[in-house]
Amino acid sequence: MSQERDDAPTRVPPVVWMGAVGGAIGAAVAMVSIPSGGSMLPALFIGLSSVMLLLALGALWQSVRTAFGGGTTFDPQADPLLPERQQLLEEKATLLRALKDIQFEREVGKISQEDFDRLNRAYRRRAKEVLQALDQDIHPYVERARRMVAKELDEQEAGPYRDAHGAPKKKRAEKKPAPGLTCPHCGVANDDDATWCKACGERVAPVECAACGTVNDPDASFCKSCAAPLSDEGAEATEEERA
Amino acid sequence: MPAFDIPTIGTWLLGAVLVCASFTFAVSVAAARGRPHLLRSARFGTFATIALVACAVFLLAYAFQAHDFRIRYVARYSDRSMPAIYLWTALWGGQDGSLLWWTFLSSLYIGAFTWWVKDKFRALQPAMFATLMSVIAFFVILQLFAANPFETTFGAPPADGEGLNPLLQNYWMAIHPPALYMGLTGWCVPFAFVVAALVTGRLGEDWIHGARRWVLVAWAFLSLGNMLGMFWSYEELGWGGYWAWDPVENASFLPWLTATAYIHSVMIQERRGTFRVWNVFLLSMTFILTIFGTFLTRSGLIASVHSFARSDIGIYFAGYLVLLCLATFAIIAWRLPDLRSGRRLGWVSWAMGALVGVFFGVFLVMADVAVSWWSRLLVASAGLVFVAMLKGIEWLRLEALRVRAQTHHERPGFESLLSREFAFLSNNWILLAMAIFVLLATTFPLISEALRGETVTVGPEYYNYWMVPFGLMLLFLTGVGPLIAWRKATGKNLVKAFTKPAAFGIAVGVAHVALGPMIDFPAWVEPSEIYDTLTGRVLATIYGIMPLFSSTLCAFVLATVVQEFARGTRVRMKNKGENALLALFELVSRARRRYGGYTVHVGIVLMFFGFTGAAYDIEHEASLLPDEALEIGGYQVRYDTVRMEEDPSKRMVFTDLTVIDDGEEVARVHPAKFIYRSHPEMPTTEVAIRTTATHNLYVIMSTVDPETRRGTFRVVKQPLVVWIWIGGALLLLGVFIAAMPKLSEVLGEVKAPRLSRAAAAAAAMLLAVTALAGLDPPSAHAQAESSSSLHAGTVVMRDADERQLFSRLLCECGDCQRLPLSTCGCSWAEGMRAELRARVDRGDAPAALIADYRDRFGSQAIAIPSDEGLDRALWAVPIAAIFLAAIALVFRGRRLARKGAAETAAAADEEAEAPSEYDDRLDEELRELEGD
Repeated sequence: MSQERDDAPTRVPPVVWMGAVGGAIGAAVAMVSIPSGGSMLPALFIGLSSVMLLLALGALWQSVRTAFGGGTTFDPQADPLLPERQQLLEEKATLLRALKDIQFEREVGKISQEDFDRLNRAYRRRAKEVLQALDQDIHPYVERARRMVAKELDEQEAGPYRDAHGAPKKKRAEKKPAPGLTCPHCGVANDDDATWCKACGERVAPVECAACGTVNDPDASFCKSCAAPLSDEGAEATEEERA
Repeated sequence: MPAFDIPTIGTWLLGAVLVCASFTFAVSVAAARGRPHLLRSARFGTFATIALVACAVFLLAYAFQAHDFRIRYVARYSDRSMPAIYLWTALWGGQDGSLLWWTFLSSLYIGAFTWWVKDKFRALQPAMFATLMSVIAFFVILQLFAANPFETTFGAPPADGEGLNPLLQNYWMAIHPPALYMGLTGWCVPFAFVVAALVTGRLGEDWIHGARRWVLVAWAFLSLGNMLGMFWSYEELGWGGYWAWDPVENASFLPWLTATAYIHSVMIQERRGTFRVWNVFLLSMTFILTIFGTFLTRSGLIASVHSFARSDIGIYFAGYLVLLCLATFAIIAWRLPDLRSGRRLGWVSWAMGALVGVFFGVFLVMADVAVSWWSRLLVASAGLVFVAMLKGIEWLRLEALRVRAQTHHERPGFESLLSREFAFLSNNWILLAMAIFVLLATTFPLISEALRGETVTVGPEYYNYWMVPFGLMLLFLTGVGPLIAWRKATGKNLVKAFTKPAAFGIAVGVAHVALGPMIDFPAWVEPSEIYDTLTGRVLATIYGIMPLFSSTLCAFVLATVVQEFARGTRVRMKNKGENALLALFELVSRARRRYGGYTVHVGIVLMFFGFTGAAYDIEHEASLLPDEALEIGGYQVRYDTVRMEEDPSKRMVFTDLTVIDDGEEVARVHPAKFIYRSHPEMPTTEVAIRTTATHNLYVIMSTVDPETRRGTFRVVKQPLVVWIWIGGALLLLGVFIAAMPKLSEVLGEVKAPRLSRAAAAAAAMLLAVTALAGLDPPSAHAQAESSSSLHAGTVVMRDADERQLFSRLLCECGDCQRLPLSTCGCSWAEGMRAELRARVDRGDAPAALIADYRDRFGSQAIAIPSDEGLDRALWAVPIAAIFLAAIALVFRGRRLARKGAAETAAAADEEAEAPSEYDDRLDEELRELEGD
């Protein structure tokens, strides 16, 4: 299915093989149950029914398996939009729609030039404010992401040993810039790769949630995205990744 | 008979569906509560549930095909002689099976959704799956405990089944119910979007984008189902009309109204970010109304021509409905603080809640039929308790928010009352008004019984008269909306936009007055009064001049739409230098929602045009010998011969008639009676219809005596009916344009949604084709291998006064529910007519006859409740509510407009501060935005 990972492109999607096996068994059931001289329809329906049963069993198996941690899972990154940012994006969408509307209505002559100018000015002004606010919003993250990517590229050039980490972690690292490494307790600036504060000994490296992968503040006790308790494994995983 | 035990397997399968749906529900809830990796598990669980439902459906289909009469449902609705196709349609021929079929169609939607959604709207998905699974689980519980289609017969299985009712053995039966069910079940996906948005608090654009196509597809199917219902009623039932305001028809009309309102008001949210509560409410109501409609028609609470067996599933539905309302309104109340876009409007929610609460109370009471004083008290207080509960929830939530000191985002108002926003709001008002009116009238028998222990009947004439003013207002707004600009209409330009369409409309109106009488379309008609009071006279006056209003408004709306297309095309021609045809094509393909919507409007106009024709119906009934003729509206209809034919399942009596226009033979028609061997006591009437662009000739053979060959015929000349079907087809075309995937979406590299969109396109195409297939040539109807239903359409009426009297009295024989004496053909009605005629001949006044009839058979025997006492509340309450809402609308609109205007003025007056680099970005984003 489509949510297969990029790194496993050769696997046959489960739907295909389940369908194939199910179809074969269904056809067999249908063949067996054709009464002599009877019509094909009953056989067709019992065949369809058994195919559906097999598909159901297959899907249920997949479902239970993934529920207990087997199989492949989603890349667990629910988009971590902040409410304010979401509101800004929404406002941008409505403002763009508004500008488009009045442009069209100006063209077909439903509103006069003066009214258009006035509305256009008002909406453009607000739209620009929103765009600016959106930019400011992601500005620090953009900077940090740029830094991370540069670092990642350096590592890639450095040698083949990083293969051991696997691709997914690399992806996560690219997408998720860590928050700053200023110690939340004493405010002393630490090195980028520090895990514990050099001044007070508190944790400064961000904690990655074991359940959903969201990167949390160093001093967080619960994940800000999924509320799972942040255990030491999460911290260790992050350390390992940073190492 | 199959070797393995299908009844047991089937029941176990249903159990498995329930288990699987519950498992998926649990997993989805877990996924929603911080274990996102479970989402994939939920997806598979959904697929498994759907496959199990399909498995059960196919198993039942197999049982039908293999004649497994151990299953009671199979034994009751099929026999060994039935052809395979009717063995398939028998799946939804009865109560139990149609519930399974309903579940199956819901699962098809859910499956399509699950396939389509992939990892879009990931935050919404868990809650959506949970909602969808709860719907499936409810229907399965219903089947397992109250209406199991796999239940076994008592004792040994019969050698042969009882056979499907012959009325259901026609090809419409294969098309009409699935289409309508598709329209009703389709709302589960949009509803799931709403619930997910409410639960997660993502109330912005997100869910609206997701729900858009699903709403349109469900709306298209609902429209198609309603239209097929009309068509079926017209072609098959043989009573000469297309819409009888039967509770079942109303049940599918109500969600159509709220859904139409949603489709309009959601555009305001997309543009202004306002009306969030309203949109959420409308979409939830649409889904709740589909369930409510099913409940009404399946529980047998209200008498209807669609005779589903009365059963005890009513209590399950009532329970589910209560649960659904409580849950939905509770989460809406919980989210109210986040949803609210402007000032708090406490009283609106109070009023709304009170209304819902009253209905609630009524059904709580109806669930146990005993009408005691405390249950009446419950009716009276349920509304208040309900609202109090909602207010409590909202207050709790507000407190919670205050603790966290969340900032409230202020949303803009309107610029002006003269804006499309406000026009849409008015459209919502009129659609909701219609919905409330129809809802109250449909449930009035129950309310009356609950409040005063007296059953009444609300007949079709009541709706026919009351709906006219609403319909005309809606038509007017259909024209006005597109003319007014979004945000703010400039007075001068507005006048310019209105001039041509208004002039055209008035010209058509004047022409109608002047020329109408010459071509048998006078501008006003002589109406009958449904009440003997002032209200009756006012309604009759409106009804009388309806043709003039209707023609004027139809012309006006048509002109506005043409003008919209023309203006848009001209702009493109000027800006891009394209020729007219290319410009039109590009215009429509770039703003498909806008122009698809306008096409739908044209369809609606044509349908209204067709409805108007009903005012000019002329009918003539005569008893003829061969070679005699009757005259009707310029035609001569000559009776030629009678002939008998037989096939294995029925005897058929055909009569051949020739239609003569000005001495020229223009058509031959063959109305018939079919007598099925399995149901000889119920001969079916096969009408013959001659369709032309201006009118239909609807020929019914009432009786024929094979000995003397004397036949009685009823011929109805019905102007403009064909335009209803053409309008319907156009409406579907409009939806297709609006929802059709773009070429780049189908062929382009967007890989995820391609399949589903191709499927959506195919479905829409199928819709259009089905609709067009309905419009087959007139000769086909006469010979169609199909049957009619009920005892309708075989009555001889002497004059209009008599028809008016009989149409106000209902047949009380006990079998013919809701049929007026003017159309009921059973022997009881025949006797009663003879009795009443004798009294009319003696000089008794109609009013006295009606009063006597009421005394004799109770008030449910009168087609229209009187205009006094509680009966008056039937129209007075909704009308009062509608007027109050109109006043509130204007006040609220003005306040919003003042606020909005002030904001814009302030924003426009300040100098622009943002750097100019954003100007370019803005222009770029605007270019990328699909324009509609």
